[in-house]
Amino acid sequence: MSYRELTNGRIAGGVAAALAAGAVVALTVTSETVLSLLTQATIFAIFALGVGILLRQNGMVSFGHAAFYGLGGYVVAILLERQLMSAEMALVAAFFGIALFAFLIGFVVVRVPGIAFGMLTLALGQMFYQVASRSRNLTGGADGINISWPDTLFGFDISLLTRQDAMFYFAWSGLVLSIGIVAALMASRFGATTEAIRDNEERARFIGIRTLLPRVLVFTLSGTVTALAGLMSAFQTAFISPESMHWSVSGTALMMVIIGGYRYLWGPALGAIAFFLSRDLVGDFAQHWLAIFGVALIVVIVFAPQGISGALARLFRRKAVARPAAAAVIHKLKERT
Amino acid sequence: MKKSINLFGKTCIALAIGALAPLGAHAAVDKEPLRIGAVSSVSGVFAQQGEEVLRGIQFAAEEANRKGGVDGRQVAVQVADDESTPEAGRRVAEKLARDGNNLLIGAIPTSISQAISQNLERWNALYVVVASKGDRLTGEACKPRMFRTNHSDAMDMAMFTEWMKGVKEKNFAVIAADYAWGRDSAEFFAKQAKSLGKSVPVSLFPPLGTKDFAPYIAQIKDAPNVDGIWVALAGRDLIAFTKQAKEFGLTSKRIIGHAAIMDFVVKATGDATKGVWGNIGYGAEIDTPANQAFVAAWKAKYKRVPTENEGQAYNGVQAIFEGVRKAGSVKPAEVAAALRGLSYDSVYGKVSMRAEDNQLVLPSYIGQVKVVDGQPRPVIEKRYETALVPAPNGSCKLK
Repeated sequence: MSYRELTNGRIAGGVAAALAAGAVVALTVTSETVLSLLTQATIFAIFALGVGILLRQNGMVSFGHAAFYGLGGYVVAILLERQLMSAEMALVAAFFGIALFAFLIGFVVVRVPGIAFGMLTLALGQMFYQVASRSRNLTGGADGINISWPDTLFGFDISLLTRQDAMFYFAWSGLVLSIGIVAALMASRFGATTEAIRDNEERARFIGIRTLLPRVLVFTLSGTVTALAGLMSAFQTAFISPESMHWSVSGTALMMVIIGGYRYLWGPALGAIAFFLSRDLVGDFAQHWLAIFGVALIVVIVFAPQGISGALARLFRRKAVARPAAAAVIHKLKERT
Repeated sequence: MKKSINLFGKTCIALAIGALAPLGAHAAVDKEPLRIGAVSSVSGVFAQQGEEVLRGIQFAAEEANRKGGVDGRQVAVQVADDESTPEAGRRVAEKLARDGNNLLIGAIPTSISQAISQNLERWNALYVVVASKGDRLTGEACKPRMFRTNHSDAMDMAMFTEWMKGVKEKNFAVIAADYAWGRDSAEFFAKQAKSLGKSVPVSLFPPLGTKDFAPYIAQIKDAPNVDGIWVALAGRDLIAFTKQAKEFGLTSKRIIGHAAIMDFVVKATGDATKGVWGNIGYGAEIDTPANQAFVAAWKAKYKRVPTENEGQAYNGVQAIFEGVRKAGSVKPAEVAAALRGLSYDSVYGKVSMRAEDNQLVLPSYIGQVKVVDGQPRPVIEKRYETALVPAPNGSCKLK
């Protein structure tokens, strides 16, 4: 059995286990408040995963990903309001449309290094925010726009789909499958290539790797995953307003990524869930939430620069230091060189 | 010794509770309480208005409890902060509703009201709009469980149209915020002015966030014959413009403000708003028995008259109470059904909740900022009957 098969097997196992765990939560938790909170946290976990991919594989910090998130809602809302196509088609069209859009602008933005990339994504994101705020006829302007879902979707009754437990499981499956697919991609040659480019683009070019396309693809993947979060949010809230595209939303997602750590794919997701649950726990102090979160952010950056996921992984690795995991790492290194 | 006193004390308290409890609140105990979920802005750009709205809601609840509750029920209020964003507004409204505080009320901007209104059935809730003016809330985005008890933009515009007929100034300058609302407002005014034979030689659209209005004010002053100004600015921009307009002596002209003479603006600008005209959603001057009683009770507690937002919020809570009384229930679906088409006595006098679009049909008011008891505040000058309220435009389809 090759290393890749081994990894894919492990990913499949992990996905199956996570899906089962989600089913248990959906079936056992009866409080709709808790399920709704978990759904929102899961949707943001997908968003954070999107931002995390870019950081992990390209080493790039985006301040404009809220544009992909908000676009998901806006595209569906406008398609439905103008009755241009069925809701099912609108969802599919929005998903692939945004993926294509991410691919095309990826060719421009990923060429720009470092801080300039951050500024460029910020500008792009704010551009969408402004367009959404101003074009009153198309987007409803600052008031936002309602998304009117039909009575049945993909053959299911809408009241069944919008049940909170169904909604949670739907979002959770989206998150788990996204992580699974991205993990499989990253374990492939594509993952190794993008990591090589991230670490030293010049050297990668020297050894004959074309460096632009893989980076564009990572950007596309990142944008597409974020759009998936936007579509799910549109389904959960049935409303979209320019605030969803504001740079502060991109900033929040970035904070979740940093809290969770981005070395592991599940890190950003963990950060998002920690963010939502702890904000709910502080309850009446939520007014001071950003101050509280700021302190938490500083603590994490100083004491666990690799985020919660990094700290957890280190904890478990210490316990299992003699286990053959180390051998797998060595094997991986050998295969790559 | 100490122990025996404690025991004696405890016995006394227990006896007292046992004896008094059924007397004090007998009706309020056995019925399910009326639980209001107040969602408004405690933080963010709408915090000043949110604070007023929440005060109005709390006051209405306390007053009702003092009078023995509503429909024999205790009134409870749970507050949540929408952080001035639709995303947070939707989230906290859901939490309030799912926790049982499902008679929702209170967001400031149309965007937040719209976000809340989308899932009312799913949360088993009802929502009363007390401050958002966007026409779409009672138009294409109307909902069977959403009710508006304040004036819509269309109602304000209909009132301005009528009032403008008596305005003698001929040449107007328009200064409006460069976004959808400001542009719409400017467009409306230009159309009205033209139909009344007035001219609009100057139209200015400063971008949102403008701090220095000197260049705009100079353009207005340079234009010959301009004797009136239509102002449609918001928030901090409005405050900055008002202050600078006074410094540059623009206040000698007739200034008409669209949604401009609100208490927080007047407070922030001192007497710079003195003499500025504008639409008023609620004022202490409204001459009805219910309003006189409300103003007297408010004065007794706060040593001042209620503001526009406080009055509007109070009025919104009364609508919930009326619905609960009529339905004899606190179930949102039943309260909503009872409220639709209901006529009742309010601080505005006799009002009715229009069945076609869930808009409360109430009189309109215009006024100007005057100094009363040494404090400048908006004072109602003229009242317009409900006949002026525009009919539903047909875009609202309530099931």
